[in-house]
Amino acid sequence: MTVQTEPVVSSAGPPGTKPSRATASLLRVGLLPVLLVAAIALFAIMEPRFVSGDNGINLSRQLSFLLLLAMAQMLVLLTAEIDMSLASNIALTSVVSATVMTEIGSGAGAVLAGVAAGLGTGLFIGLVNGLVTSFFNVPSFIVTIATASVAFGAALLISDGSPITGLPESFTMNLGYSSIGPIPVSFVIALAFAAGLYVLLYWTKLGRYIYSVGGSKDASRLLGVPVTQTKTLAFVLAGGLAAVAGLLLTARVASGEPNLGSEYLIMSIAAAVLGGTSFFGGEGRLGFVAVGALFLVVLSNGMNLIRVSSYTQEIVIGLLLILAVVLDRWQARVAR
Amino acid sequence: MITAQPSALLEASGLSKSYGGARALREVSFDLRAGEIHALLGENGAGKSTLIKIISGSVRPDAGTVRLNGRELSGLTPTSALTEGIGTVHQELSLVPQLSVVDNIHLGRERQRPGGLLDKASMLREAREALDRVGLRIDLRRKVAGLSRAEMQLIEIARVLHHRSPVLILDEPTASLSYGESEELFRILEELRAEGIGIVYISHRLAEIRALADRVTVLRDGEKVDTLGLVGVSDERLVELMAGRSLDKLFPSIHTSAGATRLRVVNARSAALRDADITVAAGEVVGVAGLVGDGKSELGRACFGLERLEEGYVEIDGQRLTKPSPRRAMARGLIYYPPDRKSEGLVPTATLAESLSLGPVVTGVVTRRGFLSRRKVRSYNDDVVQALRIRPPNLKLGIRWFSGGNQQKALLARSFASDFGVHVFDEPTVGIDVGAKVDVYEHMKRLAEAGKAVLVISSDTEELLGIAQRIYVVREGRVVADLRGEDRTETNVVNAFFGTSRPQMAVGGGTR
Repeated sequence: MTVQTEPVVSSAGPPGTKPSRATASLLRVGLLPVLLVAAIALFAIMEPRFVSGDNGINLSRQLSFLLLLAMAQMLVLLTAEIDMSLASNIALTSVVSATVMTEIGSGAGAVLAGVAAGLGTGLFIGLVNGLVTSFFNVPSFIVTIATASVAFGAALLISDGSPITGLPESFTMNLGYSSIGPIPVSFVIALAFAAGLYVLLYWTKLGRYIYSVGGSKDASRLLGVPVTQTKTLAFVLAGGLAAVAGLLLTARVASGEPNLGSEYLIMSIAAAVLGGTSFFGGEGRLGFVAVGALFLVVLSNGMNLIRVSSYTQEIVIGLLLILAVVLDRWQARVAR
Repeated sequence: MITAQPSALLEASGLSKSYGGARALREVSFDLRAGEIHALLGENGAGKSTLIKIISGSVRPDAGTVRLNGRELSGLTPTSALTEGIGTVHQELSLVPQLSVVDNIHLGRERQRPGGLLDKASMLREAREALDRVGLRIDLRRKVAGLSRAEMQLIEIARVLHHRSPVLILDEPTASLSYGESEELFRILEELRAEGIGIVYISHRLAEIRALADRVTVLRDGEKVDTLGLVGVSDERLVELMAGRSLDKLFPSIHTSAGATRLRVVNARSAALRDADITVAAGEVVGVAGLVGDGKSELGRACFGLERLEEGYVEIDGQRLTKPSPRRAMARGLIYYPPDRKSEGLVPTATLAESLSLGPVVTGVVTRRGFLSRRKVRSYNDDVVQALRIRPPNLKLGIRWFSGGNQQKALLARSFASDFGVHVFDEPTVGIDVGAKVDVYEHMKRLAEAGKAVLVISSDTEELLGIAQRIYVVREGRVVADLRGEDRTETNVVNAFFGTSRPQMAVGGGTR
C-alpha cells in the first residue's frame, strides 16, 4: 500500500546517486591529495634533499605546529564562527610563559608554572572570545580581531617588544629539540591532541553539539542543545590548542617572543578550509583538515628548499586561500 | 485531443529530467491556455517542482521542449523566462526585506533618466499600477520587512505581472496565508484569468483547486497520470489518481478519553497574546485554529519558552514552568515541533542518522557520561526509521536530500528522545504529501493512545476537524472559542476567526 505513495527520492537507488554530504565534501577534498602528491613529486625532483630523513623530521616538526592551529581553527569554523586571534594567542602565550619561567628561575617548578601560565593564557583568550561572541551574539570576526589586538599589545607590553631569553634548558630541550626515536616530541604531542580531538568530535555529545550548532543554531536550540555553551567551549578549546602550539614554538626558539607565530593565522584558515571545513559551519572532517595542514607544510618546506622567497610564499598562500573559499562557496551552492 | 489544442499559450512536451540516478520527471507533457487556471496536483516528489523549474528556466531538462505561443524556447534561464513572459512566484519569496515596496517591484529593471539617475516618478507610478492590479493598497515607500506574508505574496505577483507576463506560475501560494488572505488571493487570480492570463497553480489543497481551477494535471512518481477538467470529477477520484489512496483513510479515528490535565497555559500575555488560557489533558488531541498573525503560533512557542511571557505561566503536569526555555520545557516533559523544517526544524548539514539522533544525544538516551554509544545510536535510528516509515531508509544520506514529508518525519523523530508527556505541533503537515500526512496523523494517534497530551496548531481547518477532539480558536491573541463534539464545524471555526457570531465559549476580560 505504501509503496505507491513514496516520493521519487525513494527510488533514488544506491546511496550516492545524489551527492550526500560526504561525497559533496569529497568532491572538494578530491583535489587536495592530487595537489599534495604533485607538490611532493615536484619538490623531490627539483631538490633531492626534500626526501631526506632529516627533512622528514623537519616536516613533522613544522606539521606539529600547523596541525594544532588548523585543528583550533576548524573547531571554531565548525560552529560557524572564526578565530582571528590564534596568532596573537601564540605571541601572548609565549611571552607569558617565558616571563613566568624566567621569574621563577630554573627547575621543574619553573617549567610547570610556565606551561600552566601559557595554557591558562590561551584558554583565557578563548574564553573571552567565546563569551563575548555567544552571549552578546556579535560577529566573532570582529570580536577575535579585537582580542587579537589586545593580546598582541599585551605581549609587546610585557616583553617590552624584545625576546625574553634565558628559559630553563629542561623546557627548551624537552619540548623543542628532543625526540622519541626519530620522531620529534612536538609531533607526538600534536598527534596526541589530534587523537583527543578525534574522540571529542566523533564520539562525544559535545562533538555532536559542535557540528549541529554550526549547521543550524536555531534548530539545535529547539532540540535542547546548549548553543551558547557549545560555542564558548569551541573557542576555549581552540585557545587551548593555540597555546599548546605557542608553547612548542617558544621551546623551539628558546625565547618568549611577541612576534612569534604571526604567519600561522592565515595558514590555520587555509589548512582548515583546504581540508573541506565550511565557512558556513557544520561541515568539515578532522582527517581532511590534517591533510590540508600537511599540504601547506610540504608546500612551504619545499619552497624554502628550492629557495622561493618568503615574499613569494605569502602570495602563494593567499592565492591558495582564495581558491579554497571559492571552492567552499561553490560546493555550498551545489549542495543546496 | 487536449494537447492538440492550437490555442495553447504554453506548451511543454516530452520533458524528462534526472538528478544523478534519480528520475524526477519522465516524458511529461503539459499545456496551458490563455485565460485558464491549470492546477498541478501531486504528492511531494511527484515532479511538480521539477516541471515548474524547467518551465521557469531554473532547471535545464534532459529532453523535451517548451513552447510559448508556438515558439520554442531553448536555453531558458530564470531571467530569460521572465523576459519571454513566464512569471513565477516561488514558495520562498524573493523580495529584499530592506528595500522599499517600489524598489522591490523594479528590482533589476530600474527606470533611468538620461544620465543614469533613477526616474523615481515613473517608477512610483508604475508600481502603483502594478499593485492596483492585485488590489493591494499600501505605502509604496515602506520597507518590505514589516509587511505580512500575504502582502509580500501580492507584491511578488504584482512584480511578475509588471513584466507583462502572459503566464503566471504560482507554487503553493496559500501555504502560509490565512483563510481570509487566501480568499482574497483567489478573487485576484480570477480577475487575472478574466484578463486572459494563463495561470499554473500548484497546491496540495483539493478544495482550493476545485474552487479555482479549470483543468488539473495530476503527476505521480515523475510521470503524468492525466489531465482532466474538474467538472464531474470527485475529490476521491483526484486523491486516488494522485496517491492511490482514498480520502476517508486520511484521518485516523482516535478513541481516547481525556484524563488528568497535563498542559495548562494560564493568562498568557505577551507581544502577541492577550490573557490566553488553554488546557490539554492526557489522551487528548487538541487543535488550535486562528488566522495568521493572530497568535496561535505564539501560543505554542510560549509553551517552549520561545515567546517571552510578560504575565501568566505554563504548567506541565501540575508543575509551573519557571524561566521557560527549550531545555527546561524538555526536562519537564514538553516537546515542541516547529513549523519550519528549513530554519528551525532540522540541521541542514546533517545526515539522516545525525538528524534523528541529535534529540536522544541531548537527552542522554544514547550517551554514557558524555560519550556516544554507537550501538545505542544505531538501534535508536533503526527503530525510528521503522516507526515513522522514513524513506529512503538511508541513514548516511544528507537530510537536505529527503522529500518534505520525510524531512517532517525526521523532525518528528524527537518524540522518541525522551518520555515526553506533552507534544506541541506547529503546522505539522505544511507542504507534505498525503502519504506522509497519514503517517504524521498516525503518530499523533499513537501518542494520544499512550496517554500523552497532544496540541496541534494548524492553519488547515480540515485537518483540525479531522484529528482534534477539541479546537481552540485564537483571535487577536485571545482564546475566543473552545469547540467540542458537535460544535466542531468549519462554520463555527470560521465564525470564531472573524468574531461574526457568538462562539460557544466567549472569553471576556482582557483589555487592549
